[in-house]
Amino acid sequence: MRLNHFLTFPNAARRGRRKSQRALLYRWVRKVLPDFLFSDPTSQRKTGPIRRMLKRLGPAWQFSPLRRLVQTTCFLLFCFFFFNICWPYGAAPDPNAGGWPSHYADDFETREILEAEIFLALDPLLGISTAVAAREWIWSLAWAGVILGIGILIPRGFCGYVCPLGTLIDLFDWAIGKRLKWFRVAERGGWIHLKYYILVGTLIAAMGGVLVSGFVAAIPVITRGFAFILAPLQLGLLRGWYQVPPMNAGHILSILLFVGVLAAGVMRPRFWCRYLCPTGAVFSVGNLFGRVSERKVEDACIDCGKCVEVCPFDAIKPDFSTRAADCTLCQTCGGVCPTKAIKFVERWNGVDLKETEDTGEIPVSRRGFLGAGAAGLVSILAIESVSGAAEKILPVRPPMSVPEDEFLEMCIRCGACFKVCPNSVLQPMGFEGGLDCLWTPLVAADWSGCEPSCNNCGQICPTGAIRALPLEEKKVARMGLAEVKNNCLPLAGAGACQLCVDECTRAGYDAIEFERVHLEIDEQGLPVEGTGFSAPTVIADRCVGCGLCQSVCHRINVKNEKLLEETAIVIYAGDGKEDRIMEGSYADLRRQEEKERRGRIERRLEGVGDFY
Amino acid sequence: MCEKSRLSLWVVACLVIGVCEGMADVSGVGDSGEKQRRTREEILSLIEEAGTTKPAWWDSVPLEYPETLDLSFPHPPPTKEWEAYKNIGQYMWSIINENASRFRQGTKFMHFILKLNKDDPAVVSRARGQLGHCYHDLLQDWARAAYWKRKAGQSDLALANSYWQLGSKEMAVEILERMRFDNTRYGGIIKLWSDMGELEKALKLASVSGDFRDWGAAPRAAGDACRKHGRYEEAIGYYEKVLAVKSKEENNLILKHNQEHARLAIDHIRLFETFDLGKVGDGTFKAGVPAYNGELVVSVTVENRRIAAIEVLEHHEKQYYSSLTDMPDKIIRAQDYRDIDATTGATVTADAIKTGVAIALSQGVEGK
Repeated sequence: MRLNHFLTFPNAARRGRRKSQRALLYRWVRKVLPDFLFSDPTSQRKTGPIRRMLKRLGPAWQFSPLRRLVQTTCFLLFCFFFFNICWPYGAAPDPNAGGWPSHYADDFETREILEAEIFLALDPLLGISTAVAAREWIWSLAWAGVILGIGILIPRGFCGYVCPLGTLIDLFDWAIGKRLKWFRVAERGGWIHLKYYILVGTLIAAMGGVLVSGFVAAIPVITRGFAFILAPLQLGLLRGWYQVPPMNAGHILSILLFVGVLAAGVMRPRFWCRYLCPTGAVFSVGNLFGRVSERKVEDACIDCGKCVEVCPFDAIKPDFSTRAADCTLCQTCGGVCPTKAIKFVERWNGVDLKETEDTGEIPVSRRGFLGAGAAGLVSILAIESVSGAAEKILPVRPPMSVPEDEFLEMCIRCGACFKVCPNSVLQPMGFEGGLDCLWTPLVAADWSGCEPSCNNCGQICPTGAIRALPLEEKKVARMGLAEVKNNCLPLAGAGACQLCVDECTRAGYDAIEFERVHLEIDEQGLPVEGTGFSAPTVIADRCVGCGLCQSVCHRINVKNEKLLEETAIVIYAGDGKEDRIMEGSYADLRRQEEKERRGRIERRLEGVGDFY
Repeated sequence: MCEKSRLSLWVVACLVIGVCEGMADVSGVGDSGEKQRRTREEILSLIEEAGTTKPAWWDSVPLEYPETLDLSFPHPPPTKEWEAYKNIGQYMWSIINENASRFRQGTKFMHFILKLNKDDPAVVSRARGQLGHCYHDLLQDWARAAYWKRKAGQSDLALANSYWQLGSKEMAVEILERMRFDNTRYGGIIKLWSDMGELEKALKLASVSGDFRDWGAAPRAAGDACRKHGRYEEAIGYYEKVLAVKSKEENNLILKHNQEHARLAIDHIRLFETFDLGKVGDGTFKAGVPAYNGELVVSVTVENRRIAAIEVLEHHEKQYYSSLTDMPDKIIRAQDYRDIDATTGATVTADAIKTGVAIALSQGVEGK
């Protein structure tokens, strides 16, 4: 077992190839690592058992096992983040701790040894488009910078080595796509421009303040796919099917799109990556303008065409030279070349290159660019108009969300917050708020209420649409205001009930109290004892809109006991009912309000003096 | 007790927490316990001392009240409507009385009203009466309650109770002796006699008070008294008398209230006070109770007078931490369900398991 066979760049070593032709990286590795790790590639040796096994797995495993290993690791890491770290149910309250409980928030913080949203942060399209749309610095831009920086050394390496969607597509293609040959398309590269048009359209929409990148960028696509298909399965199997919230039209659409992305692989392997993925397009643009390494063909090439066949990214032109924008340095072609004519070297290494003709291919056409721009503008108008037309319902947003306009510009609809919410109270909207609210998180207070000891959604949100604030802040941040409706049992004089009061007290907010209503008065104007009902009233200053009251009323009165058609206490969002600030402290806001209130009372009582 | 009784959550809570005692208890007395006995002089000076000094909580509670209240405290109220945010009496009744978190605030407010209207004798009298009610019924501050009751000239059950609580049975009896029968809604006079240890007097008064307005108050209070003194079978007898009362009035709310209390009390006695594991035969018993998110079904196996196994067969809880295994373990180890602490953060689930076990075991009591 020698390193030569597992790192393709040493395959560039060939009899007759001068040392200076070999890649910088190879020369350095050769200097550093001991000689016995490398075999003479030109000598005839019998293929060892490991290489025989790898041959059976396919050309990429055979010739570029390092790439496959990196892909596997990244995919397993993604799955680990999604299914393990973002599984909030390990939390349990500490019986010895006093004060406000914080077990969910603490548990999640401990689990996040690595930021679980790191893949979402690495996707540069998300960082760039969100920053443009919101005109704000988004923290994931720093990560985008990192991954693009790495891209200088390994251009578009993200696509070939890291992207979990790419790996999933490879798995799907291998398992299913390969077997369905009827849909095969013989396209050899003309469609590769499509992804640039999608990218441009997305960026133009972003400039108009409309964030559609979350619909089409690679990592949100796979995160949403997992969140809408696999997360319910995990929840149902491990905690019980009654815990899984129902699906809506938005879920169905997202699942269909996700399945579509995978199914396109029957037309051509990695169809999405080659032709559609705008995240890939960002890397391709990066390739064009800044790359250190490149795939080069030497004149030992015999024009056999094996490299073109095997390339997963349509990165090889008909004359066997490289489409630099699309090559991800996966090095599969290098292994398959019978004469070892392909090398992966520094861009300026121009020794013994094959003669090529300029085929006149350009990465992006002018017509396409204009078309994409137009598409972007149309999408802005379309989304803005559809949302304006429908009667705007104001959804109750997760706690610590930024104000609504900015929220729509910063939320990438990735689905991560739904996954980490322990009560499944955050659920994706469908079309009820218009297209611009599609897949954004909503507090579904009929289903459940927001857990007082949890702030997971803020911790996971990759763009900061839900601010990552500590629990002391979250517990005073108002999502909405509860309102008691007329069908409330005691308020309507129909019966005694205090479910919402008890629930709110148990949660620690103490924001609902009693008022005696429907009292009978006798002739002297005194109330008749025993008459009347204790009805709930909401103390607006203390209510944070968590929805625990609404969910208990719905669960018991509507679903279990069937005493009501609809829940009798409802959380509403909107002016005066919520406060959402882009920056600053909610706790400070409350202190300020309390000070003002006390000030008003003191002014009213000036001059009263001592009255005991 | 049928296997899957359709209990409401409220009833479950009452059973477990034993809230029966305090259900709308107008006299608001706590348990007597060991009282410090004081002489008349000591008590009178204590009352005077307390009445003329601020309570300990005074400075930490700000004065707050709705701005729409008519601070001249007219009575009777000017309109036939119930206006809790205009009329002080109605405000006190329907908002202050209803919320423990407002008791001190309401008391301080009443002091404010007293001062504001010090030149109007009618209002002064009303305010003093309210203060007596606040200190007695809401805050259980016996010394101040007695002070204001005396100032208001109200020599009633509450004043008697205050004297008793302060340590003079003699002064309490002085007042109670004048009351020939119990005309209160919940049998408060009978209750006070019983609290002072005079069970026979209490029961005699109950038999004399009979069917006053068909409220069922006397037998209810008699039942409570017997129960307090450990005479459980007699208590059940009185409670059954309450249940047998038929009212000529259609919507006799007080009777309904007392009957609800009697029902819960009988259940509580059977499940808690007189529960004897030694009376439960071998077998496996099931019970369903409402828990946090839906029904919870528990099964209990008894072998040789021991709880051998407890299993939660079915539940719909969302966050169950460890209460589903924790509570059965605790109950089996203690061979009892009565003094078990609920699992932290899962009290509704844990209490439901406790109640389920109690009801299941009650099915197995032999010779019922």
